[in-house]
Amino acid sequence: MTDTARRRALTGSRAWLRATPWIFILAAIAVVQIIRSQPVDAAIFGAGAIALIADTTSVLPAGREKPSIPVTLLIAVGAVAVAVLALVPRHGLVAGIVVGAIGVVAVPIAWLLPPRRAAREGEALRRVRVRRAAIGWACVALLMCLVELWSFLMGRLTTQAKDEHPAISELLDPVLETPVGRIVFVAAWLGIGALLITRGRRHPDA
Amino acid sequence: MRDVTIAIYVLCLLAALVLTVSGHRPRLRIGRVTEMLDAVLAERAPRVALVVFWWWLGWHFLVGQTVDPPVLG
Repeated sequence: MTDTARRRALTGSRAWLRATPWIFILAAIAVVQIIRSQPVDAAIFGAGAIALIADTTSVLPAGREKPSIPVTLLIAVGAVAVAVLALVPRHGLVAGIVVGAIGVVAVPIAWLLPPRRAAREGEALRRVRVRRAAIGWACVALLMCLVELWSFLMGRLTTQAKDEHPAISELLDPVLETPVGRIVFVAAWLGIGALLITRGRRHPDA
Repeated sequence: MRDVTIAIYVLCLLAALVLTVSGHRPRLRIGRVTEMLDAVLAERAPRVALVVFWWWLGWHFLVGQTVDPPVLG
């Protein structure tokens, strides 16, 4: 095996290793959706997992670099979406079209390559800070997911069990029935989405 | 048990708040949320997985079935 081929194989196996936890997470959520008897939701997460598997095997094109998204555009689109989703009834056709359109735009943007970040001094210190933050957030997310999963499984059988083990959905559902609750939820949801599609910086040498 | 479950959710929220604030205090040496996102989202797998999950949360709470009926009634 030549040096180039060996380096390429090593890079490929590292890409697999880094992608595997995320593929597993999407597949696990798809399984939970099957248990919930929600085939569309299961298909969404299943498709995400399959797309990432295809990406790690280089079946899909690498994609071009993400264009910069103007903050004013994000704020304008977000304000319109908050207004519409606060006014229209939940689980209705209009809400479905708006939320669906947001996904149709956001997911392909997430597929594109993020811009490179500038090389800076103090790289080692920055890496330590980022690792600590990532460990902290991962612990919070893991605890939340485990309690949510436990509540979902324990509360599935009877109304009484559901009261004893409330999932986040059961606690938030009555809040979202009020316009104020919907405004707060949609604004927070879109704010997090804006962060997810605008952040991400590749290594300067990547 | 209901109170314990709700308390853990609240604890998670508070921990997220503490982590966000800690990122702005340099002596704690914990990265800001944006720094962490820049690093985590540099790769396609976490970027796509997190955006799909984020989008589904909106779908789940605003459009799809939010609360499942109990299996045995």
